[in-house]
Amino acid sequence: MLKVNGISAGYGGLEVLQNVSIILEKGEFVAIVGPNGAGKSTLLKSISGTVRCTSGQIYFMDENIIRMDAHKRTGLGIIQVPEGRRIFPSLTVLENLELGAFRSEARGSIKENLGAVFRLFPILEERRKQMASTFSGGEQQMLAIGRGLMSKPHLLMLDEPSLGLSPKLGDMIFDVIREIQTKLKIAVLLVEQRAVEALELCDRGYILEQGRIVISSDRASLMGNPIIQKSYLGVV
Amino acid sequence: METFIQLLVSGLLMGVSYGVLAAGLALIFGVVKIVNFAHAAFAVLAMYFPAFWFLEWWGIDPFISSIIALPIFFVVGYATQRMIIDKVIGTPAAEMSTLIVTMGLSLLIENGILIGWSGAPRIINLPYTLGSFKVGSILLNQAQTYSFIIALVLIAGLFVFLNKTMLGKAIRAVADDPESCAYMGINLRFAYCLAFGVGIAITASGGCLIATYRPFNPFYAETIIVIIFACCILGGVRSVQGALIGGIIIGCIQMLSTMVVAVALQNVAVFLLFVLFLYLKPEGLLGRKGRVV
Amino acid sequence: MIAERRKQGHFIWADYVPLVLVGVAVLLVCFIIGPQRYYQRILLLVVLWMCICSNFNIISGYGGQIVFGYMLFVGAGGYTSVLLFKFLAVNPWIGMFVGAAVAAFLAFVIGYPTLRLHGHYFAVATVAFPLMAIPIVAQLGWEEVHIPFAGRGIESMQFTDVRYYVLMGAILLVVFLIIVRMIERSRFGYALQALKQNEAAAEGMGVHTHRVKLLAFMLSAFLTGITGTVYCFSILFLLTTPAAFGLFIIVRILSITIVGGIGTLWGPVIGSALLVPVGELLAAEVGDRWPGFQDLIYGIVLLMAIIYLPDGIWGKVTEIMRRRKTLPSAKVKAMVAPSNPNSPSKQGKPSSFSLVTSLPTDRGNEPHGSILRVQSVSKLFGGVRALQDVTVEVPRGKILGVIGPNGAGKTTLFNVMNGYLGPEQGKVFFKGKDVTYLKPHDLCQMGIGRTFQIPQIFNNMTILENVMIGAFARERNATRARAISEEIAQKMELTHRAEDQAVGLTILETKRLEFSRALATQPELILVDEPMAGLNPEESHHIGEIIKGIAESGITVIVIEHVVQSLVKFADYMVGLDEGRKVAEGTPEEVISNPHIIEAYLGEKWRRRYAKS
Repeated sequence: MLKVNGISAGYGGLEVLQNVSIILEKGEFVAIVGPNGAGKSTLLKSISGTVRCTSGQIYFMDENIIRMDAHKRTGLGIIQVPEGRRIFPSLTVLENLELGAFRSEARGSIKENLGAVFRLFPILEERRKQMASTFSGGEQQMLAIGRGLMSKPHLLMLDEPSLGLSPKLGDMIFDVIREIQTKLKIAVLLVEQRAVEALELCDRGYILEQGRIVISSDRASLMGNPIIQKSYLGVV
Repeated sequence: METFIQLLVSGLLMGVSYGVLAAGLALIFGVVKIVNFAHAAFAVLAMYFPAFWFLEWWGIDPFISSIIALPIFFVVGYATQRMIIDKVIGTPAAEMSTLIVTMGLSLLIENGILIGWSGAPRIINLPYTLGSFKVGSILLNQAQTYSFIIALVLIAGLFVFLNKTMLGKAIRAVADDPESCAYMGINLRFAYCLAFGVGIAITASGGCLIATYRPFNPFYAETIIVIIFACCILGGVRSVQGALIGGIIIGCIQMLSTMVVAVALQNVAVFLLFVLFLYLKPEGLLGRKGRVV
Repeated sequence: MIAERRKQGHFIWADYVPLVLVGVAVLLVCFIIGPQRYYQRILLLVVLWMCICSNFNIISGYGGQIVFGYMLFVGAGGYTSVLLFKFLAVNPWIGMFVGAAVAAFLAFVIGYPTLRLHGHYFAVATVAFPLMAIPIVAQLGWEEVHIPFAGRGIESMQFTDVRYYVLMGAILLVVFLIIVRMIERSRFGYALQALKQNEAAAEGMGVHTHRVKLLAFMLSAFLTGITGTVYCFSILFLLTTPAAFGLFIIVRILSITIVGGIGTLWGPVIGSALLVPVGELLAAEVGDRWPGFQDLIYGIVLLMAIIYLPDGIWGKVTEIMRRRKTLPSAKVKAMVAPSNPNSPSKQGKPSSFSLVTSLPTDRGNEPHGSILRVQSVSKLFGGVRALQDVTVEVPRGKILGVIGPNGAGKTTLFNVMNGYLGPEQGKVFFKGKDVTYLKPHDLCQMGIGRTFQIPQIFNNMTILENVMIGAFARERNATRARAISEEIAQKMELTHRAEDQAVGLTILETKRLEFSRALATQPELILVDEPMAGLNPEESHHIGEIIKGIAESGITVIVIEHVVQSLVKFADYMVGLDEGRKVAEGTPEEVISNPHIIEAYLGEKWRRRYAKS
């Protein structure tokens, strides 16, 4: 479904990704794990289009989207839940969710999608008239994911959903993500620093280190692999 | 005391019109993140066309013109953003460049009016220009009163647009976080044009209202632009509600200052206030940073 | 040869002769035109606008602070001298300087608070003042002031023959251009241009940005006050508030300066020579049918210029000249040095840096031989505790690595050490002295240098000039600053490109330039912010070697880095932060096996299951 071929990308004159290739099949759950600064966010942003690639190709459903504008890629169903939540603080919860359905394909089914999101996150329904800025970190993350779901994604990309959350809240978010994947059967690309949590959920994973893919394998081989600790903290 | 209340009431009536102009500016600043130097110039343009000329040519009342101005100037604003301002947004020196562009635009509009319709001061002379309603011992100028009502309708309309329509919510989202909007599929460039168009439309409408009770000339914009800036800053630069409140306060200050200084200096008080707020309290009285509505 | 002599700081006649030639050219044109008053007047206007725009260029072009209310100074100078002449019979030659002083004073009073504002806010603030002046001046009864004609020729600055004014104007122009050129080549000028491109970086390089801006502002205002006087006496017979304070003045200044090339010496000259005659002739041609046509055209020109030609004519010319220069030389270099300039130096780490001037080895009162001590520092950011009771002692001459996950407070710690932020609690000691609340430029002067994560390159200068900005932090003399910079550039392997403009550099060259600039400030301690960002493992290794070389020459280094596995290879000592607190400290081995650190980076579950205790 998604084929990233040797892309290089960066910003501010720095080249963050160098010749990175990954694959994602329909309905698969793939995790991208690695230390900070490795380029995980940049990889997701290259796919969603908010960062321009300097070389390489990206194929989505066999269409090369490398030159497509970001807001058009959402039209294909590539939906990213950005790092740090990035919900709209001065809009209410309901308005945030409604905006998730901005893209024309999703607008027709706002009511049903809202229902599904509220079932997943009852607290959002409770506080739907509240301004999003009053929410705590964990609640904002739920709102961000809910907003992503409102867009009727074919590929859901999550950028460090547990960032800044306590381990307990993080676990809750991961449970929700698992539920989403099993219930809705959409393809999920998860970027995370918390290696175990991410690997537990995935079918396959990639380790990204300083802009390069170091290993690509299935869950069993990656779990507990010492290469991961070395990527993060090195050896002396 | 009576004079005080009289001035206060006049200030309130006029202040709301300022508020309409300031609301347009605040919307543009909040969403497109630029200071539109040509803002007052668009308002003055509307005073001539449609307000003055539609009256001269076809006898159309300026209050009707204020509604007609909405679609006309929406297109003007949209086109201005699309064809001119869009070209400098996103460049490294965008902040300065947009200021320079709008300043050039301001001079262009002013002198265009001068060439087209001469520099003679214009007044709209209709029965309500000088007529007044009497409420107790307070005189309410009729033109100002009708303007007040229509201005409130305009503001209400703006609120409905921003809060109840998908497009309105989208541009409020752009004001909050332009980068994240791409994730929703919101086209940033389109959103900017929309916001600019709406901002200019409502401003032009407000201009028509002001034309019913104030004389105007091609360079009137140079007087009002800082007043509009002052309204915005008082209310908190990105806030539409704030701009309205700022407008009312400024209108009152303008009127009340005539109790202590000569009429010609009423604007100096406003300018001074503006500068003081810039230095000391740039987030305005309402103090909410980054909120459009 | 000229380049050599310039390097040695000799006074280069070649720099100033063209400026004098401009004055000569003006007089030549004046002579050719003959006694025709009409054309002489246009020539005079051309010269006067060249003057005003040159003055404007100092603060707004070189300094980058575009003053939209600039007409205040024109009016201030003009009104002062005219009123003094008319009512107190003060000689206009004296009045001219009084007017200039008034303008400079206004610049000080307005500039002091206003220059602290940035961007939109600054620009809009300055506009309010001339617009305020109009009703005030009118109220004082001076809306229209008829300038009396005393007819005493040079004594009262009133000549019947316009050509005397042209002569005056030409002299003024040459003087102003010389002033601009002298600024260009001076320490003040470098500081000005640096702060235009990046104020924060300039501060970190030791530039007292507020003071520099204020001085430039006052200088511009002073010179404009002089020009304003000449403008009033030579052009206007009736001084009116719109003529002195009107918005059209700033639009014309901007048009002319931008079309010519803002921030360049020749920009105002070219722009004025091009636009003013056209404008005036147009006004004469269609002025009666279409009043305001001239300003309409200026408005359009301004729009077009800022959209399509923001660097101006002279800016474009210099760009083309620079491209021509670098192209062949780049080819030559490629032939001479076939190795990829990107690959790390084959000799291993660069030779160690002995500093050109010996630093005062004043160790101050350091209790434990530590050069920097951060003591119990806490910092709040809008309710978030960015730092909580952090204490760090930095041993002299060693490399200290600071690690921690995102949001742990590493950058905040740096900013506190560097003076960009002041802590709510705690203190910072440098060489035993309390420096907690000193500003970055002060700390730079004391010996703390810094590099930035995204290299702050000043694109409009050459590589060497970039380094010189750093050198000027502690070295006043331009020649010695250049010498220091050249030595450092050599050690950093940048000499082959030292005279090229700092654009199109490879990532490693950019980083080396960033280090060079920081080293040029002759620091005893250098703060390095995420140097490995965006580098692959080979490039990271090279940076590590550079840092080792720096430490070997006696400079203490503190490094923040995300890429821990690179950092452990060269750090002597490490500190780990998490959520604003120090959670680990010790040798690299100790820190990376610390359970807090493992949990912070890999998550709690990993630590529980897989971390070796």
